[in-house]
Amino acid sequence: MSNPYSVLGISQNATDEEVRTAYKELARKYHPDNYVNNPLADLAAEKMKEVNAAYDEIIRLRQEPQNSGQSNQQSGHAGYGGYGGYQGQTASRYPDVRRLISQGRITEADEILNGIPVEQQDAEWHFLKGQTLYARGWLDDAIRHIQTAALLKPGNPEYQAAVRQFTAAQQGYAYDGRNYAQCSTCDLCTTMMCLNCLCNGRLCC
Amino acid sequence: MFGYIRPLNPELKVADLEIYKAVYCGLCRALSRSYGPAARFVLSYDFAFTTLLHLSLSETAPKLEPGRCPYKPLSRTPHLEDCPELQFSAGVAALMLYHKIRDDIADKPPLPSLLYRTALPLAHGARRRAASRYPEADAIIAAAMERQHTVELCDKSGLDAACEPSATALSELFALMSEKEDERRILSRLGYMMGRFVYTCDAVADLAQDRKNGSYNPLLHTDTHPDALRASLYLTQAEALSAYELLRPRHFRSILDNILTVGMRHTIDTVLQEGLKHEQSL
Repeated sequence: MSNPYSVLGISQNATDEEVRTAYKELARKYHPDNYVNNPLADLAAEKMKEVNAAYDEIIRLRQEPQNSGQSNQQSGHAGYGGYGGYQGQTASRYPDVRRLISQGRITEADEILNGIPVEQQDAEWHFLKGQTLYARGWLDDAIRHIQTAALLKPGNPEYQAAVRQFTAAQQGYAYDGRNYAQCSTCDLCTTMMCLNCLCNGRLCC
Repeated sequence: MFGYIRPLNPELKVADLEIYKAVYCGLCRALSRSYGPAARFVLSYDFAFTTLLHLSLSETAPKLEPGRCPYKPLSRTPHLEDCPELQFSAGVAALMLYHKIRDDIADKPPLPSLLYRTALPLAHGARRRAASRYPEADAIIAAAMERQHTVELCDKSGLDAACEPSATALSELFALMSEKEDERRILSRLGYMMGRFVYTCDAVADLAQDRKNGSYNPLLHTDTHPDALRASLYLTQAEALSAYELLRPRHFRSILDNILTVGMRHTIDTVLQEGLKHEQSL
């Protein structure tokens, strides 16, 4: 394996804090949730594994007991691994289509879907149609189908999660989130609130 | 392509801006050297991006060398040394120009097309040279033009369908940049999204003009609400970014990061603001 430090993009002299920050940043980047049904999901999973291994390796090298909690958290990250991970939550009417999509055989999946008469096109049909369109890069049509699925079956967590994922990206969160880590945005909010209190307090005094 | 893929300069480090300019200069030189001085007019930021991306995957470190630009002889500016990656982007640029000119001749009324007709022989020579070196690239672009015509014949096709030929072309062209299977897959997805991005941006920018002239524009038949377009472009950027983050750029990382994040975002916001300003005044 390559140098674990270079995998995390940090120097060998990085502080523990820097190691943790770099790891968290990468783990967030390659998190399975960012690549659900993405045709490159397997490559993201590999990256995630590599980042986890590098982090474990650095922790092992440094042998610092205070980091053990962090390494637990990291194995939690690795544990997500749920590509198309909502599968199996509901009994699928189209197990073949789901299998083909997960294998990246989009054209074949599409052929089966297109063979289904309009009157039989249920929520799951729209959801899977959306997935094939997404894999092909037809983003606008993909969203329309996934939204239809979510409207037809408002209680389905799989469809709702997909809608949330797309809506976040449409509003530009995907890019914001990568640059200004979501958690630090929360931190920022809290910090601002604290600062506000402090300033107000000072002004009052 | 049209110069939509570019960095946001104020966010670049000074050293990175120098490098970016040097790549741009290198591309200009490569075009002139391989396809004649007139070929410099094809130069665009998009091809500077493809050069950077291509080079970023190379094992050998790109070299900059000092020199003088024939158009600005007083200042000494560094430029990227000639390399296969540079030649590839220059070749693709020449090929795209040729196919674009042919396309415009077919589209335009007789008088304006005269200008294009005079440019055709020049472009034709460039194309012959480029196609002999990059036959796959030539075939990809020619096929995309063909498909674009079919899509445009059907006015009702949505934005996804209208983007498809350009997006597929860039997807296939980007995939030519690597021999490694994993990298090719990533480049292919990234290329698709960049093609989608460029095509949509161009459609927004040309919307007012196309409406006036009665020319084809996919947005004339779809939802042109600014929010819907912004959502579509942001999503396209997010998808491009997801693919890009799986690459391991060996060089130019900070410049590429800038282009894929703040650069694209800035382009989207500017294009929507400018393009739809005219739209509302109609």
